[in-house]
Amino acid sequence: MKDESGAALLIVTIVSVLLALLGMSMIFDSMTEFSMSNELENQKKARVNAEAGYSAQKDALRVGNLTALLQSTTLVPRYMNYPVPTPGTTADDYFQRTPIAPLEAMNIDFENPPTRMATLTVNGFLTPGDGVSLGDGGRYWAKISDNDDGDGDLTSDVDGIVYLRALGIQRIGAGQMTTYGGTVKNSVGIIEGVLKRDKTLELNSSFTIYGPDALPSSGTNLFAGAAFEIDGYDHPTMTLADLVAGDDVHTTDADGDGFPDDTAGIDAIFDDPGGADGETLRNTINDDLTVGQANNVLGNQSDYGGTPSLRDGTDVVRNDPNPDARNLFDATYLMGFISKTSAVADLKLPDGTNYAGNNIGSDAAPQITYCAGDCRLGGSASGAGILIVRGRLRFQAAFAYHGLILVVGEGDFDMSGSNVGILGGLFVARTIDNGDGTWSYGTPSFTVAGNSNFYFQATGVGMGFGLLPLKRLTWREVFPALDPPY
Amino acid sequence: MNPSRAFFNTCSRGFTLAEIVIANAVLVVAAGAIFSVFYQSQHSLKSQQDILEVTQQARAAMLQVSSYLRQAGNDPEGYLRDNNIPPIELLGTNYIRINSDITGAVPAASAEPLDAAGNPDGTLDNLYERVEVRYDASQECLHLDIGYGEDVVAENLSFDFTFLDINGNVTANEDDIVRVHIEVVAETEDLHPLTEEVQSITLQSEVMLRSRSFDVFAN
Repeated sequence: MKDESGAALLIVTIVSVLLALLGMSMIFDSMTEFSMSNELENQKKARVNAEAGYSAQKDALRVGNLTALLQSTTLVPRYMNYPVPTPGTTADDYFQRTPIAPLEAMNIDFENPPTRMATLTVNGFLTPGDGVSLGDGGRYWAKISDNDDGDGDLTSDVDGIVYLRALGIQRIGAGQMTTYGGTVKNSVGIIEGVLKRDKTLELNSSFTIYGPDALPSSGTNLFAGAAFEIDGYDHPTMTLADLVAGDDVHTTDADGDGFPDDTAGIDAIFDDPGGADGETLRNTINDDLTVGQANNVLGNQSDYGGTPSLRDGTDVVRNDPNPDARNLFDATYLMGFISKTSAVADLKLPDGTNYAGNNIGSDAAPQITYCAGDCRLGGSASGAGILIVRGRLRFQAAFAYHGLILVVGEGDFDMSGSNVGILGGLFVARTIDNGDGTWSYGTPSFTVAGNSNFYFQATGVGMGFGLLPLKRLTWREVFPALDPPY
Repeated sequence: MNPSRAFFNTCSRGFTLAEIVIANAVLVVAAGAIFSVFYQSQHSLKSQQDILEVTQQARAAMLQVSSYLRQAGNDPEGYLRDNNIPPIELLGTNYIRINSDITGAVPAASAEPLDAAGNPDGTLDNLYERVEVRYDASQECLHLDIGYGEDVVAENLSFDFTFLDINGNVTANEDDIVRVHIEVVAETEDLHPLTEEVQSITLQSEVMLRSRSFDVFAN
């Protein structure tokens, strides 16, 4: 009977071993599958984190001066000793686009980082040096870098084009397993976009008017009285408060090249190759100015030797190194641009709005204001950003505006009752719908009177069109094979 | 008589035929039951392995194809626009070519030839820029060609594209495609031991072409 007991034990043991092997095999397979699922999921999360960072920072770039951002520096911790390409090589150009080294992105636990080896000073960072935590092990970094825009300086933007790269990571979570033999890693995703700021409206004067000729908006003259001032010198340090206070601090050489800036009080523009260009318009304006009024039109450039600072600015636009400037000649492009801008306006006003007494943005919070038709601004109020009016714009009383004003569509601007004015730039053009999806330019109307002041400010104009979203030229997911090896 | 001796004397008389037959029968029944459990378990394991394998294949295929589709139509230099090349060419049933200028060819830092790297260069000559995806229904496999030649990336599955326009309607017009709905149904080769049916897993995804996404300032 003892032998019988032994046989039972043997059978039970064999069965137990077989079942244990079977169980272990199933557990092993399940663990492998679990690990692979985790990695696929984390890979997706890392890409989504990178996309989130890309979108957030693309939007944040709206209000940024690209050159200032390229020149800004951020301290970025370096945790690992990784190989770097030789500075100045093509490989280095690409390496510099990525916010942090991919090797660090894959390995470091950024929630509990190790002691840093060094701190790098990096240009163009849009996020803190240790990234933006998205919670649950997600994090992203983003930076911009300049394209080769011909100036040999990767911290200065000339053409409005920059690269934006966002790197997202997803740390493997607690309780998750990896197929890396137990070493915890991050999944990494990189998104790159080439973005362009549309610089069509980078004006060169305090008052730019486009058309074959001009008509008075109210009364019988374009100008009335001699209390207004149209000042085409640059006023880089002036603020909205200075404008309201009547302080006028200008410079004749804002770019510091030793020559007077290429700016004027009034630019008359009309693209008529082989014809008169803006001469007819310029002559009409000049003929309307009395001697006393002409002395109030100031600036660096003039077709009349001094005052008025009035010129046919067509060739200035035509020969502008800014490639977008010539878009101004195309009414269809301009109206398309206006139409897109209206889609992202912070404030939309219907035709016939009397918005006197209301503020429309401030220096601290500039905004896009779009009026679908006639609009009246006035009272002791102010605004900042970009203002687009499709109908007639009446500027009255103590209203002050800092930024860029576009009066297009009807192209009718009446400043006869204003006693403060504009710091930045004003563009007036009448556009006519051809009915076939295209537009052409007509004859605009304006009246300048009262104590109106127009102070040109290049940065104010830039602040205005800088509120518009950047144009996306390209979007791609970057994987190792797309960057040159080093 | 010594009691223990008496016991052995009693035992030494041997087993009766009936005892042996009964013992063998019990053993056969027990062994059969154990073998049956083991057999079932093995099939179950095999079945699980099969479904895991096809699931991973389907996921990998979905991931790869989605990644290429997202970038379809990337055209910073205007090459596709100037040559009237759509982001996605419909070459046949579930046979597409994904066109995107996403890279260029910059000099290699190493001695190794560089197939593709750098910024988009206004051509579709580099790897990853003309990606062909073809589902072979007769072989139930998915082929991918990134520029090296066609490779099978997944087997035992059905793969179905549905092309959608900006309003979400199905379209066969290449120029109207804004989104692509992908459905992958992966099936195991062997039948499930208990249900004796083919096991399958279905994955669905909808990919927005970034070059066609709603962005009023894009292009």
